[in-house]
Amino acid sequence: MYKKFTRFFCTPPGYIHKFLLVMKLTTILIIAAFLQVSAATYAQKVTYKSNKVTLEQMIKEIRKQTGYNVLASGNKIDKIPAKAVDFKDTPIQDVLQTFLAGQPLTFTLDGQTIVIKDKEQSNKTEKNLPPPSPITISGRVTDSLGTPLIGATIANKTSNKSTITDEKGEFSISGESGEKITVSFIGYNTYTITIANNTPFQAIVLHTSASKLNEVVVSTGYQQIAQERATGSFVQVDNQLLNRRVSTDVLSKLEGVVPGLLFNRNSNPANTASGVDISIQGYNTLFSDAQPLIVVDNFQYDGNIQNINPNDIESVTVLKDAAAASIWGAKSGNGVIVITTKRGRRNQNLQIDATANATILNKPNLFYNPNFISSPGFIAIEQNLFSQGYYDSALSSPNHLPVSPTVQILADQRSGKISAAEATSQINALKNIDIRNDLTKYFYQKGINQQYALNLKGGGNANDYFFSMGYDDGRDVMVGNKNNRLTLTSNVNFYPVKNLTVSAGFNYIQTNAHANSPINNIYTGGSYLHSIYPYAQLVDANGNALPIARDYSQVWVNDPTSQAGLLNWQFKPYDEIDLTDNYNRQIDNRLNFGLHYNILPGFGADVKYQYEKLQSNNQQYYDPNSYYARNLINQYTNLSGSPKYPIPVGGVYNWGDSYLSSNNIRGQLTFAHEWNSKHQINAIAGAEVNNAVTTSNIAATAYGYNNTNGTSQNVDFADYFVLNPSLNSAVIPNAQGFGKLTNRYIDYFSNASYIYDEKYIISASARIDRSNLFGVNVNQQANPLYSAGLAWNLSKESFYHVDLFPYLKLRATYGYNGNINRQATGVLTIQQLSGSYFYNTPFAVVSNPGNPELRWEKVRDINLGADFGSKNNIITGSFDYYFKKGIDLFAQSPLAPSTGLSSFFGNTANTQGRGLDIVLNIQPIKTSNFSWQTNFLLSHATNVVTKYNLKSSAALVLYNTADPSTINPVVGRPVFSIYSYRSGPLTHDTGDPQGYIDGKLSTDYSNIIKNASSVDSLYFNGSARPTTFGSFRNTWTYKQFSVSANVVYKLNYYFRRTSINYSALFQNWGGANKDYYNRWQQPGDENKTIVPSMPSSVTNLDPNRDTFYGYSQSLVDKGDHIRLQDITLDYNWKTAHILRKGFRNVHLFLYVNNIGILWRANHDGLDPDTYGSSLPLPRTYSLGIKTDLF
Amino acid sequence: MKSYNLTKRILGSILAILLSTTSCKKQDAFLAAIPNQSLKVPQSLNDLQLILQDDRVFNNSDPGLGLANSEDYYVTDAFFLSMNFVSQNEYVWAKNPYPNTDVDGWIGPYQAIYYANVVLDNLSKFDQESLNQAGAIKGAALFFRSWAFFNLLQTFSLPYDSRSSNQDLGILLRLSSDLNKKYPRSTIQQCYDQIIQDVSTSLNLLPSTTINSTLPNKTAANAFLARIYLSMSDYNNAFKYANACLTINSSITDFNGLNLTKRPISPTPLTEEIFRSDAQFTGPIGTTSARIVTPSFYATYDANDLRKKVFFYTLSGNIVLFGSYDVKKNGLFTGLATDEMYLIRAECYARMGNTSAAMTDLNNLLVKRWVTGTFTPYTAINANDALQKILVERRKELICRGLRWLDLRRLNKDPQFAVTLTRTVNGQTYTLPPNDPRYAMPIPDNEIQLSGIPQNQR
Repeated sequence: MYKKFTRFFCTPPGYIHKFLLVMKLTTILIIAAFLQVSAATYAQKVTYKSNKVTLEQMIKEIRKQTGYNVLASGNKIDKIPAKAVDFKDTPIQDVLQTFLAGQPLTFTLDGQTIVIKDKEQSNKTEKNLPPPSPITISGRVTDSLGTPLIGATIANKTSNKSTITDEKGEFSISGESGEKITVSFIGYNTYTITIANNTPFQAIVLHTSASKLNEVVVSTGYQQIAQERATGSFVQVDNQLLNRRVSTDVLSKLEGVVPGLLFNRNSNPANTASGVDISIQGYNTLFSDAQPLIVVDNFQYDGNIQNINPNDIESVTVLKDAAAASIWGAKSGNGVIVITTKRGRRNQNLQIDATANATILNKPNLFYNPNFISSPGFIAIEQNLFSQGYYDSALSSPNHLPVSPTVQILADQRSGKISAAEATSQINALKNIDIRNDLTKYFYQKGINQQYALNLKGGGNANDYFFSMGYDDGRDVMVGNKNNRLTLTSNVNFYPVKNLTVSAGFNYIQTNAHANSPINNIYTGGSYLHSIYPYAQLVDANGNALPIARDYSQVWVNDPTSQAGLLNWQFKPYDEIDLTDNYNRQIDNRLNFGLHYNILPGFGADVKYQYEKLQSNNQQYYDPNSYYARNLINQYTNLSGSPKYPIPVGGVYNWGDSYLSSNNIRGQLTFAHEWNSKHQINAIAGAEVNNAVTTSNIAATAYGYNNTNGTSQNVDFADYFVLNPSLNSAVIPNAQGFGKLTNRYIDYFSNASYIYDEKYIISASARIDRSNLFGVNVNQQANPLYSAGLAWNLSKESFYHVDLFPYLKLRATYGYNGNINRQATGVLTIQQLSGSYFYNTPFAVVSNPGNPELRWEKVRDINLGADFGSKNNIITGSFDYYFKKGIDLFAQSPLAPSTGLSSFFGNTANTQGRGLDIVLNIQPIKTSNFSWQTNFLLSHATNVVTKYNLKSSAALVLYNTADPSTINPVVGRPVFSIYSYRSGPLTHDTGDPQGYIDGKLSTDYSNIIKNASSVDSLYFNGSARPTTFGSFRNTWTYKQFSVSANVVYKLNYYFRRTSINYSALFQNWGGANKDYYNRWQQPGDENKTIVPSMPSSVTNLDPNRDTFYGYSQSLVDKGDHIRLQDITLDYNWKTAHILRKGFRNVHLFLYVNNIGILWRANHDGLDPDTYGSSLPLPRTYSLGIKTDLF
Repeated sequence: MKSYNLTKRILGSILAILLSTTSCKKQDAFLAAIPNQSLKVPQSLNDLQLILQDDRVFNNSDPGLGLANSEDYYVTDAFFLSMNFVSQNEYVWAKNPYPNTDVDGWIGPYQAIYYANVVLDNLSKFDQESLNQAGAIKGAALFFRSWAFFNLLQTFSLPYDSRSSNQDLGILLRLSSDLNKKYPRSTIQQCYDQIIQDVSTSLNLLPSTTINSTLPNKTAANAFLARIYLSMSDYNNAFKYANACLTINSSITDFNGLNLTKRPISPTPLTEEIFRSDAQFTGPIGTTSARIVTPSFYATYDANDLRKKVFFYTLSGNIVLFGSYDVKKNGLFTGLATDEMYLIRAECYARMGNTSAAMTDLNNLLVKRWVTGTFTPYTAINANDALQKILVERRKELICRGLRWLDLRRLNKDPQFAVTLTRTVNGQTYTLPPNDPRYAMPIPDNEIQLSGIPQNQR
């Protein structure tokens, strides 16, 4: 058994082989890339014509045409007047000379780098080396990512000597002790050092200055836009911010750093494909998929986003408003998250980055769970119920129903099997057991996630490349659950001839996950389908597994005569960890290929293609000794005569596969033109075709399965067998299912912007989506989703003289996004069935009426925004106010019965939302050694249902939570709302909860519930999802140390907490809660508790009383809380010794996540940000190292 | 030069992509893929045929309201109290028996109408496959739709009256499967015209025989037309079609051949069955044991009349209506059979003054109902006497077939045959006088709200 396990898990069949193959492929690609590097050094020529061009613009052009890096020190190039030029295949040298002639500047050509510098200095540095000074200091200048800054100016302010950094970013300069040296570079903040004796090798990191901040380039998945020139609401999360949080997935790295992005941790994670429910700027649908579109590089990502290795990601752009997102048309209604992977750069030396980290996950605190009554209290209840004969029917049941050990002891005492003293001592022993101790000790462990990643990137003259390999290994906090992931990525671009770019990418992801923890399987069964008694002992003092009462009376299970011919029928949870294997493997392959060609200056054409194949394989293996296999075999065993086994003794094996294959192809034309230095036009237009096919096969179950040699035995799936001990009849379980889903789209898109004088920006976009999902009429109509936007760089106006905010830009956008619902089809569909009512003939039913008027859900979006920056960028930020309107949302709607259908799923509902996102980045202190940065995010998002044709009943809306699967919309209320029964204090005499009938207190629960049958008669508490949320992040940097702490808050919402439910507690142990200890016990208690008294006998048990109390006002709490989310401590280790050994940078970091709640509005110590009764996320500690080599 | 070629090639490929996506036909073909394999767009005549074979929808959804309202049975006070609010209301002919409630008697037939319209609307796509099959499918769909229209009309509209049928409101004649189309209430005359036109069309299209009686054939169309015309008191046409029907199929099941101790009485449909249709259970009629007949009515059956055993049984001292023509246990047959045709033709003969032919038809039927050799043929002194006798036997033969309601509506217009129905519950007596507006059931409230159509005056 064990042998198999290790072989199977560590090296899945074919794993090594596949791995080697991939490695070989990668090697070949790397060699190819290097060959390109060495082959490429030839004279570079430039062709350019303009009436008026500045040197800066010319430098950009040179960079574009030749790939040469042009570096200019100081700001003298700004003063060089613009010129009219007409170059045709002119060498770079001549081009530069045209501008520099007569200026106090010169240039040098060094490899692929052109450096423009002062004539005087260059003379000095190159020809007349200064006489040796008393102290020479040397160092290296890099940007915050560790990339060397070549050509940075190093100046001694006292002696007026200066130099520039070389190709490795290194320099050395001399001076006398006490003199100040400044390090400056265009676009970066200047850094100052004071010369001292024994000044060590300086590792200087220059940070981008604020003017550069505005030069953020965002990606829409179709084009790259300088944020400064955009009208829409984009949020970019750069690499540095992404790396702040340690995580194996990319989504969680966005938590608390993107304004308007809310993580709904209080909704069921199983509802979304990724297991993470997020919403951008509120909830603008009802019953359709509410998750944002995920785009990786250029195409919609069809796999599970959790599989993408975050170490491959350069940046993430979140598209929020219509102008930003509507280029994605009918898929953009919930916002778009565009993930940009890393790439190499042309003419860049090979860079190797390596990352390794380990995260330790604490065991969850089981004692947090409020839904628990400890053994003594629980036993007291059982004793009371036993004395009332409550368990008598179970004890005498012919089906041998399970009872708890306490009940069994009491029954044995009653029947005289054991004495009263024995019974008391046995029960007292049980009182000392707490199942949570065994669970914590044996079923939970410290989880460990290890992450390793290696990135290679660089580029030659005619190519660039990025390769990466990542391996993640996770050991879950639940013993038996583990997973790992291997990712391989390559992004390669070739520039074979002028104006042509060929790109190719490859991405391979393999994940393996085992979920073998039996924790969710520890229950008693019978009436107690989801519960276990609190005094269950799972493991004995010697570490051996112990059985629990499960499914059947333990007296019967342990009686050799009644069990003759049957396998052992005991359930020992601790043994099960090794006896079952729930295994899921996913392999996700993506291949992409692209061509870009500049047909004419400013006019380009693109073709992009992506193929994705995702396979997922599920296997469940139950060892012959597993309870699942034994229980199934025993149930079907025929005991008349010599035992017969319809299910053969052996293992049970289920498997299923699903495959997704998708093809995407896009043709796109781009146009960019600038004239008279005043007018700029950028436009794209294109078409895209997608075809995604998902097939799934849930194959038959194999019985009598022998895991060693892979054999199984045939069983009779057709006949009915009499089951033990219930005598019901059933066929042998065999889950078979086949499915095939096809999603096809043809989309046309276009986006254009016009900029006048860098002050006024107008943008517009339009997209038409056609798909196989949809109605005939819509597909025939050209029904585009469009947007329009305006932006005004107010601070560039000559009349603008607000010194406090030298940068101010105003934005306004309007437009429509869409959303898709795959449940509805435009065409009528039928489903063939067999066995008609009268004559048992085949027939067909109309399964979907079809709706030729079917259309996309639309979200109308108006966004008003401002971006601002104060003097010296001490304060920067943005402000966005939006109105959203969900139009034609899919919902059930009543139909006139004369149509033949009672209700109809169509475009029948509307919602309205509004909100704001505020970002403030403040840098109160900034010195060369110490800086303090504060980032403050505040979002407000509300929504209300404005049209919904079905009337929800009170009973239904009471079930509403923050989870989309429970919504029952009510016009005029938020989509996610909490309602409750109005309630008063407990009664004085009996401790009964009181509700209201006609405004008067009452304990007539069935009538209270009946009277509150309409939604209006319920108390409306408020939104179930936070309407105000955000974060407050502080980063302190002292020399090489930096500390950053993020505080997140969620405000203005409600949740329903659980409390004691006596009927459920008695019937199935379901309603246990620690409120039991605070229950009303004697008159007067009503002044200090809201928890009702326990019914004195089972005959007084009133489920309506529990229902009323469970949904009463007194159990609804405010969800507001403030949480210290995480702290990261970073040490950037840059001693001369290390750096000279080829390291550019060494980061050591310590990261602590899920630290704890700082403040909460509820007084019960509950974490409102959890789903149902799940436990809060455990605290994690990560330690890691990130090195940039060469 | 080299780069020029490349340029041309790349430009060419971009153009090719853009062009291939702009070709409309190709696009439409690409986008015609079914999104989910388990769903299927009707793709052939066979698929449409399969829709028509959904006998739950087409053959088991006749409104039971008329049946429940008729005088065939009563319930005990104790049982009345155990019934729900709606059933109680229905039983005492309340003005609005079902406020704000879904009414199956309305929903069921309209579902059948929708299914039939789906078939009719899709038929033109495939009618080139086989003209015969397409014709048969069209005939069946028209028949089913008319069947549902007719049953709705008999339940939710006033009885046919040639003097006012152009003003009296009928039902919504939904003739398309488009859910977004709005329909008003047509007049009763328009409804009958549509029904007669469609059934007449189907008569020409339907095959002579079908595998199962759940699918209509020519005989069924004739029989249906006879029933329709009878309900309009158009005895000439009723005669014409009853006669046409009996010309094709005149067989009557001899009850002497049935095993009367067994339930159901026959495991297979009786030979006299022409078209299978069952009523929905509404109110007390769903509970076999609750349907009690008065001893006086039971006494009208002769001791040698086998129907005493076929239609009734004794339970706790009460005579309980069992129903008839049972294939599925407890079903309430409201379909077409030759016994009804004999009775229609007999009535028409009588009304046309042909006393002897009328009595011959009646006696030919009854002789198969009595113990062999015990039946003495009935005689009549004149046509009116024949009519009287035929109508008595009509009620006895067609008990619990839903036809009593139609007859009450029709015959109440003739003072000679008009009756006031009474029911007594807990000592309180409720009455339904002849030609009362309550002979048209109210249209369900949700239909009124959602369609904005006028309600019946009750």
